[in-house]
Amino acid sequence: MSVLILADEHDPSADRMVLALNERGAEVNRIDTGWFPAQLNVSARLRGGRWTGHLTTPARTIDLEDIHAVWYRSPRPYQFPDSLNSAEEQHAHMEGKYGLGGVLMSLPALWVNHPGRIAGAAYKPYQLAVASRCGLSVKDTLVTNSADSVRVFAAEARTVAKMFGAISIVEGGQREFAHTSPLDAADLADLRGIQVTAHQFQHWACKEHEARMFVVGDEITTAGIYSHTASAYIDWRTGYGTNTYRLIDAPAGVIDAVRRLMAELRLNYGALDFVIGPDGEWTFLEINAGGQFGWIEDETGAPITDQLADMLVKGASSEQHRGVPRVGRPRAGTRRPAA
Amino acid sequence: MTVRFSHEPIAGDSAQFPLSRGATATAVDEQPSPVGTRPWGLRRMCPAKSTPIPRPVAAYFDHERQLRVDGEGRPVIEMGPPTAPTTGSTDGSDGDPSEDYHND
Repeated sequence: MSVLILADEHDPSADRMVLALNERGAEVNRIDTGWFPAQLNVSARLRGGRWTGHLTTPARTIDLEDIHAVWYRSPRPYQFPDSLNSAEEQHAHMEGKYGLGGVLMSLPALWVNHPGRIAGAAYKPYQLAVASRCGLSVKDTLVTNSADSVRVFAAEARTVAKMFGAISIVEGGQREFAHTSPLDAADLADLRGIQVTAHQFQHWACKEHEARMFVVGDEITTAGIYSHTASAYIDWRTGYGTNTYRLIDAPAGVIDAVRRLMAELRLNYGALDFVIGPDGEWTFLEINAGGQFGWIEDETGAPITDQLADMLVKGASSEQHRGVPRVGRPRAGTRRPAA
Repeated sequence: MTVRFSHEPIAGDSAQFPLSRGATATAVDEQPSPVGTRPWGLRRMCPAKSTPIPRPVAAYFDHERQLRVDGEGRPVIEMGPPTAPTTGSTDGSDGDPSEDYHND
């Protein structure tokens, strides 16, 4: 039995996972789909209701039937020769996606997480609706391309603007970011451009601090995030150099609701973001089905890599394939050695 | 033509509405659209703050060991935590390969 890691070759967390799986004596194979087709070959045949055959990388031949667990970590798009014209490239990509991608997504393995479920969970409005139904507290949210709707909504309470998808673009050769930001009078006076696409606005959640909760099968580990700048107070992603972190416990009611959310979304891993108010209320912001954990693991010793590795080693036979989350603190002696 | 999740290498078309991350980089000489045409949400875009990040020299992916190593074959990850925990993308989407972590 083997574990397949699908990850960008530039992925420190995937590097750590290779080492963790090696320590456990597991057979691990790592692929970046960006290697296809130049450095990745597929040869698969349908036998007995499943795809059999091999994936071949520069150093390995991977038996499809041996794969019992897959860790999916945002591997790159396929990279086709520059000599292809745009129609040829699009054709090659779609054939590769539904061919190679189709063989991979059909593997009867434990997926952490299956890319189809990651794709479904990526819709923020869907997440918020499911989270609310599962019992998590969610702030009032507006999806609109109507300036009038924005003004009505903003008149009700302090309001922030948030992106649905990527918070950064590359424009004119420069990378730019748009983090969560509060609406002010100047914004409301000039909402030109709202009509061009859907925009997300949410009423502000008063915060004492924030938290990122990691769910790995039935393990739950939560890190408090404490901002120390004005911008990081609004969006902690602007404060990586100044934020502080410590492991905390979430209320039992929040844990139960998260358990229901994970089950409904059919995810085996998630990084969930919360605001904790001055009154102690936990407000759900979002779930990231492929959410990063490495920097918090480095800061707190949270054993996320170990938990994931243990789950992957157990594979599809594990109860954790669709288990009940269990709250826990890091086990003694699992803190990663200092560099 | 609707492009559905076209750049994602495995995830199929969602039963929901089309979702394509697509390419986000413009041509270098492309200019922002005029106010009123440009989506309002992009008004808030600001250049990323540059952070000096010491990086290993000549790091490459070692196919035998299945991780990144430096020019002397030492695993980069064993030299300590990545020094650039920055936000470059949303989960599951493309990101800036020059960043060590794509946090979201």
